[in-house]
Amino acid sequence: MNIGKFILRRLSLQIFVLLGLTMFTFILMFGLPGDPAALLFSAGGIAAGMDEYHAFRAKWGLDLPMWKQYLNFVGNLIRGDMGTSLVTRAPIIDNLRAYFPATIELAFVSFIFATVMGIPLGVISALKRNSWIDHAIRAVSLFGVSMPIFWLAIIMLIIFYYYLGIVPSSQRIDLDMEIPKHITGFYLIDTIITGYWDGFFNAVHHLMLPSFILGFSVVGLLARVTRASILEVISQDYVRTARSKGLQEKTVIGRHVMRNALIPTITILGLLVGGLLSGAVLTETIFAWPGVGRFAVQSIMLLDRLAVVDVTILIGVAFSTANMIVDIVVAFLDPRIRY
Amino acid sequence: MKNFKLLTKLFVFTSLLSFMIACTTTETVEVIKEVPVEKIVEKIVEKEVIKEVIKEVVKEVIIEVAPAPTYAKSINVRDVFFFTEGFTPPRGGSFFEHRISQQIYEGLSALNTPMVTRGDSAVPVPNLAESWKISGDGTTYTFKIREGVKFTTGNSLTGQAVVDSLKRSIFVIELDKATARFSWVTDIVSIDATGDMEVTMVLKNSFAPLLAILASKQFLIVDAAELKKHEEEGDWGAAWGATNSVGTAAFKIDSWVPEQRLTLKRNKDYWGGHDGVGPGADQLVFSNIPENATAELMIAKGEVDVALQMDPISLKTLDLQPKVYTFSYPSLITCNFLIDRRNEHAANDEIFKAIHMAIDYEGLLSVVAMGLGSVHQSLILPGMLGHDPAISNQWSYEPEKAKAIIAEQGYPDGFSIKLQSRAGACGSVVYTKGIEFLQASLKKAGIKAEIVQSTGAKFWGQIIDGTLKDMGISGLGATYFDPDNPASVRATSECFLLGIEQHNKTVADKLKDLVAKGRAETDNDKRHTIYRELNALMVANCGEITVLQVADTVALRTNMSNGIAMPHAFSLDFRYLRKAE
Repeated sequence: MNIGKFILRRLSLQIFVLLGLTMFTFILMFGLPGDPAALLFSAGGIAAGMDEYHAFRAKWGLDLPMWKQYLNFVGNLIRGDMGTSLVTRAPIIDNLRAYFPATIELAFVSFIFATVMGIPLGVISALKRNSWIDHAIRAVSLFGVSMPIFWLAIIMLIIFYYYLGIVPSSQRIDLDMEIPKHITGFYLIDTIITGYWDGFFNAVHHLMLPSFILGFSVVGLLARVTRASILEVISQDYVRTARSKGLQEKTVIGRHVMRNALIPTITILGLLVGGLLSGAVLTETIFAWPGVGRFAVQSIMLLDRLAVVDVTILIGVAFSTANMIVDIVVAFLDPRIRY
Repeated sequence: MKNFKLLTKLFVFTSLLSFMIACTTTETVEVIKEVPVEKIVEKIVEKEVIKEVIKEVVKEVIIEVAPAPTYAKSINVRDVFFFTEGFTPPRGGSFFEHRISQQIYEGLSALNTPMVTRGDSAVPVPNLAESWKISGDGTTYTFKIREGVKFTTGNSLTGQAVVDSLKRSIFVIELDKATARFSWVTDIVSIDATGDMEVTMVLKNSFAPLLAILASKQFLIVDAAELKKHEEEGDWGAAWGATNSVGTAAFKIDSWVPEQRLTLKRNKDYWGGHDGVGPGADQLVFSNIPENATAELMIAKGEVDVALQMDPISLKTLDLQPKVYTFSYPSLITCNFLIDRRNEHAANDEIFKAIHMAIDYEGLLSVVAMGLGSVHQSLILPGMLGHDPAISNQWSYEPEKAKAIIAEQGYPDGFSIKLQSRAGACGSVVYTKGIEFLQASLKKAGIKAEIVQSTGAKFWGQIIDGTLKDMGISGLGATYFDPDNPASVRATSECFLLGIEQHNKTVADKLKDLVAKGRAETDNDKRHTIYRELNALMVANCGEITVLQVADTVALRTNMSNGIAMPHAFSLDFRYLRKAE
């Protein structure tokens, strides 16, 4: 099977995965006790008008049985309509368009940070096995994996924002700076397109601490997986053969060890995308980052079922796409894999 | 490896040595004790001085603030907001939307804000209406509209503009199918401009709360003609107006990025307000900072000048910051325990009384709300007609007495009840903590309470369905500052949903009658008597047991002054706020 057919097959399977995902989330949301209309109406003094309450339920189809609501939802989704939020009364697609870029931007920079830090640390740790450098890297890795994001973020804010004043506290841009014009929703891209360079550098500055916090938990995992993988490969016969035929050490490591050792690491990278997207919820809350994580949490609290299902679909698509890309990259790296 | 072992040994040795020194050296202990105490005393003294200054400033606010100041460049405000519907009346029901609407729109009437802060009664005073006349039968209101006022759109305020604005509010309320919540609008016979600067409103029946309602969010005056230009699908500009301001007040919307930031700019053509106080800053920037710990650091560092919606723990921490002070003011929110009068035990009047005695009100206030608020046991709040301190503070925690009453009623070993707990908060009071504390206080009266995890949606669903068997907690607020609001929402709605009609038909009919009388009566003294009676009847019979009036809390940098609360807007009145730069 060539790569084109492989991608097509994966995409068609993805539809079924997403359908299953929507059904699962829908059932879960319906499993939560309560009536979203009752919750909304309680805010303004419940049943100030029962007619109003019942009219609301009828208008939003909340009085229909679950299967009918689900079929309506899927039918609309096929037509490209993700539904309307019960709470904001706005199309959910508009909310996602506003919030998702912030999460993607944060997750992407965290991903880059984690990769750039995690893999080299793993390599160094493996090559300097049992040295004090190896122990230090392993200690840092363990710290990164085991520290709760919430705690670490607050401590980092106290040190680097409050005492040292070298990073901003929160949000995507300074309070006294103009928010970039919404083109893509990615501040780094929008500021470049509009030539708003002060905004670009400020946005980069604002990304530093949250992306470090989000990425730090992943750095440890990556470093540990890379280390273990290299140690396994480095003792293989073909590495010994490469050394015995007189190749330089950097060639041995770069061409023979790394190429084989990175396959598990790259597979892990795909899975980490999901972790970064879902782990962004806490980071977004602490750093007042207006992302989809906070949107999802608020939607759950207000039982805005469609909004929750839509967020799940979006993260599902991002996650499965990342894994598909990983599969393709692995195929390029490993000649034994054929599709 | 050798180096690592050496480093490890060195680390362990140093740690042990430090620990031993710390344990044996008394000098260190003294230093630790002395320095913070001095600092704390300094901070307390400084804070007390600031509090005194605030009190003085509040007393003299109109005289002190009135002269046009030099404008601060910007006041940065920490707030928390999600899922906003919009700022232009009548839409937008959250606290945040209320407080923003009140900064950019004004009503025909206004509540005398600083006086209410001092605990006096709230009285509607002329605002965009220069004066008004009410006919003898209370059905015709004639408003003289203030001259020289302009909308931020550049259009002038006229009698016709006011008529259009009021009609638009009613139109959008009907569009949103929310008329049940504002049922009085169906009693309006006509609203007409009876002169260039005169508006006459004719009602079917006398309706005393009207002036207070005209000061509330839903009926603030907007430039309806401008909104009409931006109509989409027959919504009279409701969608466009959600994020654009077309008012007359001290500020106008400059930019709005949903869930991130709202920037208000000073209205340079502001007419001055009913009390002659203009804004003190060129712009207000409201930023959405949901995490309290982050907001604490931001105000301590000076990145924000004002922090709203801080939790009690953060406020206690901020009290120790030298450059920050905090204060609280009574909100329109009460915390209540609900129980259906059809419940086997609550149906018994004596046991119902015993339940009141089994609630540790002071304990709830100090443990759950951290003292931010006051014990309050009735539906009418201080500052409203009908408020009676004796009724609002009639119960005290008497578990032994409650236990004896329960035993007399045939339950010598007490009885069991379920308490519905759920996530959520009522101002500073956290529901889950409230339920846990209630469980402990009921236990001393022989009521064995089992906590059941629930959700807000399930809880309210059960009330609507009339199937609430258990006891649960809720928070309720008022939308306009008149006793008719809590009376009509609770006495004729919630109280009935909690089974008052089945429990005691005579009381239920009396409640309905008193609410109707209170609405129709225009004489304030008579209204006061009516609402006192209603209040007493509600407290004695309704399954909604009010326990606390929650305080709103705010933290400000010490260079900020005149933090004065708006009684009806869940906020400071930012028009008064001054910043020394």
